[in-house]
Amino acid sequence: MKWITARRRHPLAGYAVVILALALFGVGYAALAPTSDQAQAQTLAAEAPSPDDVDIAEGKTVFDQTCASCHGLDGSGSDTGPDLREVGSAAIDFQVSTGRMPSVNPDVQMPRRDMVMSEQDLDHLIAYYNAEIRDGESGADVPYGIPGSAPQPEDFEPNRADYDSEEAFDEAEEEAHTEYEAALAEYEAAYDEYIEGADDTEMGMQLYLTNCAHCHGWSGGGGALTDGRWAPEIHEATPREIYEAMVTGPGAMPMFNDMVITSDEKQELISYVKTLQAEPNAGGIFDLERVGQVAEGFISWTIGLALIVACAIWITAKQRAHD
Amino acid sequence: MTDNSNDKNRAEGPERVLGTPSESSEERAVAAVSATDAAHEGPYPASETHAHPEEQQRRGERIAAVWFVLAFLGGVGFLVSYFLFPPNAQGTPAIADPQIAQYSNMLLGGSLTLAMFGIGAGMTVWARNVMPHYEVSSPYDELPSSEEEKGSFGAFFMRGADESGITKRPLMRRTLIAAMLPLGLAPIVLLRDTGPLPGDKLKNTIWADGMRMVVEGTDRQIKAEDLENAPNGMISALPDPGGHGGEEGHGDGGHHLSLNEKAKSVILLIKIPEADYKPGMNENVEGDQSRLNWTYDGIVAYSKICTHVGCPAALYERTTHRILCPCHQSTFDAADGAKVVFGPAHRPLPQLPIGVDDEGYLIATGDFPEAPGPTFWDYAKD
Repeated sequence: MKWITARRRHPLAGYAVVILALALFGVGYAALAPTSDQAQAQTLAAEAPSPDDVDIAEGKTVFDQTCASCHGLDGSGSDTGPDLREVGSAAIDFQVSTGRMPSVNPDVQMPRRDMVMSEQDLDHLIAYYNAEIRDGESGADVPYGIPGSAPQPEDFEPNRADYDSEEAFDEAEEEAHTEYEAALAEYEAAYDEYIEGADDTEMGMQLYLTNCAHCHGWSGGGGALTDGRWAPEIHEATPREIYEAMVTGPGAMPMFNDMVITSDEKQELISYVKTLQAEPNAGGIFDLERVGQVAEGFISWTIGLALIVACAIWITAKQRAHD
Repeated sequence: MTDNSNDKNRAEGPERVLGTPSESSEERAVAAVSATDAAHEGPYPASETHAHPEEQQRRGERIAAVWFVLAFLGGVGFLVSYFLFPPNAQGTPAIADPQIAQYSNMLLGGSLTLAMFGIGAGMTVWARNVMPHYEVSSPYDELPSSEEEKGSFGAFFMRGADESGITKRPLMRRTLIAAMLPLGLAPIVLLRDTGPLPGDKLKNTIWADGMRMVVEGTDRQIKAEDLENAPNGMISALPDPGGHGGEEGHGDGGHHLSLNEKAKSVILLIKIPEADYKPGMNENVEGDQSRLNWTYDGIVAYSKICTHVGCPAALYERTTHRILCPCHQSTFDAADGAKVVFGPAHRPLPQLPIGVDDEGYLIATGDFPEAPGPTFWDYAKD
């Protein structure tokens, strides 16, 4: 402590404190900020759930408990939530599977987060929506043919309470593990088939750059809109979520239906977005979300130049006769 | 009073400025004790040399040494990083993989930075804590030369000029001037390359009555009904001058358009629920045509090029019907004739009159009413 006391009046003490604080914030943010590994939640089967697996009554319970307070008991909307009758099931799947709904605060734009309800509940909810709330065939259906997120092991884990003996439980656990591996392999095959099935990523790139990149950034890092809204980054989005976002236009996003951008073209586009995600990242503490050259240049000018000036001040600072 | 230790021409420091406050009396006392004038070996007199206390010098030495060791490690690290990614058996360099190349660059750059910064920082610590500092005063030189010197130089110069013959040999002098003239004119003449004047090229695009449009990036022509079930749809589109060429519904995808033509003619097709259109759309723009007459089934077409400096303005918010330009946040209201609601843009995005042909394809029914793209000095003149 004596060391600090002796130097706190040093002419460079101020600079040192600022630089230390900046470094602490930077490193701290990088350490605490959520990374893509932590944000994976849902499992969606490759086919639509069969009517036998879903329970419309259960879906009604979920809707009444989690959605109705804003969207109304009949889904017709209120001051705090929009009318759901014409949005289509793809919108329901998108909003719930990306964790944006149920919203914690209807006044602000919801960020992406882990899905709040279970996969099963979402299926029930969509079945209830289709049966009771949806206005005929309006809106887009959930594109079940397009891969969602990878299956998660915890969705397969057996419940200890269902088993009498330790052996039976162990056996079930082993079985669940095999099941999970199989589901994962199946998912990965479907995913690869979808992504590699795109043969004209050049066109996908054109479509992305002319229709998406303005808001979501050329690297998919997102960007600002008006009145505090923002276009989210799309690095974590699954192919199905990207597809659903295009056909339903969540929030302020315009719609790109299958007539304007056909489903084949969407496949090219999604494949291009996936190549963006896979692009090597130089890493470092500040990758600046790879927002682009202008921002990078700005940062290097301001921060880099400030550091150089600080060095120059240090080297040439007048020495006092007694330090 | 200065710290400047490079001031060698006044090493003797003949005069001290009277009344200079001696802030460092204690240290000078130390210096005087440790090194008397007789024993003093430094370049400046002992009275002007302020050595640091021995304790500070020792600490400075240690800190400088730490920096130099870091710099050494950085330098070694640079050499190591260089050899860290050898070519594989086939002779392909490992850095051919972009991810490896990124790591390699990070390591090379990082270690070199550490090495150079370490040396610099160590030397700074050395200069500040180990080297003594000097308090040397030196009066300013009289800068202008004396009248005498000036006069004698002028006379000297003129005598030389006379002798060289430039004043006595007019033929040579004049031809030399003639030789230099065209060179002097050349930079002015080269300015011609900024011309010729563009005429009305900036005001016209290839859009013409009856021309279909394709989704930018594809060769698929757009029908009005394509946007039927997207009540808030948007798409970026290009003209399709190739027309009905190949397969039905497919144009040439704008492949035959030059970059200039594309840049001028690219449009944003936006479907807006008709109830959302504002009264501004009823204004007459050309003859008895209102802006609303130029839409079709709620679909409106605006130039995608911002009227400020020409960035592609295509951040469209379907909830507010605002079009934003990502460069300088110019904001246009798509439901109100693309009127500027915010930002540096000075006029609305030009609206393209559209309709459908007998097969249901969206067509332009004319060119933009005014010049698309960044506003220029006489954009409004015909």
